[in-house]
Amino acid sequence: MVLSLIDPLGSNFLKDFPGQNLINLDKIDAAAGPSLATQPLRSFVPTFIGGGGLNPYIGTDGVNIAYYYKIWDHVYAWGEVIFGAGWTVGLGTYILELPFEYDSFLNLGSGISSSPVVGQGWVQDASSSAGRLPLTVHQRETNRLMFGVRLESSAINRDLRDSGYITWAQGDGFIWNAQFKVKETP
Amino acid sequence: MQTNTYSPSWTGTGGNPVLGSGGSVTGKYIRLHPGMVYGYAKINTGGSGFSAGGGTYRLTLPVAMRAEIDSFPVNPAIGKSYFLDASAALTSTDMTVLYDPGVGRMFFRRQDGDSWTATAPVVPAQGDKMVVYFAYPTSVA
Repeated sequence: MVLSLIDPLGSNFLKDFPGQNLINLDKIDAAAGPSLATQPLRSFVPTFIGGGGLNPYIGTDGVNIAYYYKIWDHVYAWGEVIFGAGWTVGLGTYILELPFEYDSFLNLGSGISSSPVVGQGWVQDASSSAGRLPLTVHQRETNRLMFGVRLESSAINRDLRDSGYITWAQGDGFIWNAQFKVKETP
Repeated sequence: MQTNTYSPSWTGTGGNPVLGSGGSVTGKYIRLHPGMVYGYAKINTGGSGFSAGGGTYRLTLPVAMRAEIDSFPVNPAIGKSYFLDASAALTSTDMTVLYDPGVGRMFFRRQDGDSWTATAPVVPAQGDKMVVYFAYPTSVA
């Protein structure tokens, strides 16, 4: 990120410095956004998508929460998805759609091989510790996350989805964090 | 940006480990902006006199977790770690760093889904090491 802080008010460096300095600081504040405010941790609800065309439903008392901290053009986020009463499993790869736009220079794809790892996660199996398996968190496309399963998991798919890594039940879910660069919005 | 040091407390739910000669538990962290905390912790079990303790291992954080994350229904993931078994590569492993809101400490999830304990993936011994990286928000200025 490059900010132009040269916007001379006048030719007298000493006399004009306070006004110039104020302008520069305002520009920095505007570019940094909420990260400089007193309440920088913000929340959002990711859109929970099933890549096979049928979205999962977290149920009436399910949980889908996320908090993020944006510092300049980097976002640090933590979230959880937990299935509640009346949940449905959906179909296909589990995807979370975020309210951010990744920087296009990353040239991200939609497959796990073109979606770099940007965080860690794990599967919450409410009934068995043996099912609380690790996940890799991948950024894909322009504003999405997907989740990779561990080595030798015996699942036939590489990604977290409606079936395979765990047989989902009420109280199960997945927990994630991610750190990624977003499109600059100075 | 200032690098701060802290002394993590390494505990076991069934008895705390005791470091051997030359052993250490150290931590460093920085603040960014200033609510984000990035930290590192290292455990060196040391030599003669090391005792593994018992139960699930935990480590303290340098500053308190932000309340919103503290209220997550299940343990949030806040980092990554690696346990080095000095005597065997097979039981050296990476683990996910989780936060336990109930006790305000980190613990560690193995690849098989269970926690790092005084007996698994292996009983820690002299010369073993653990390195931890974590990042989380705090409201402490």
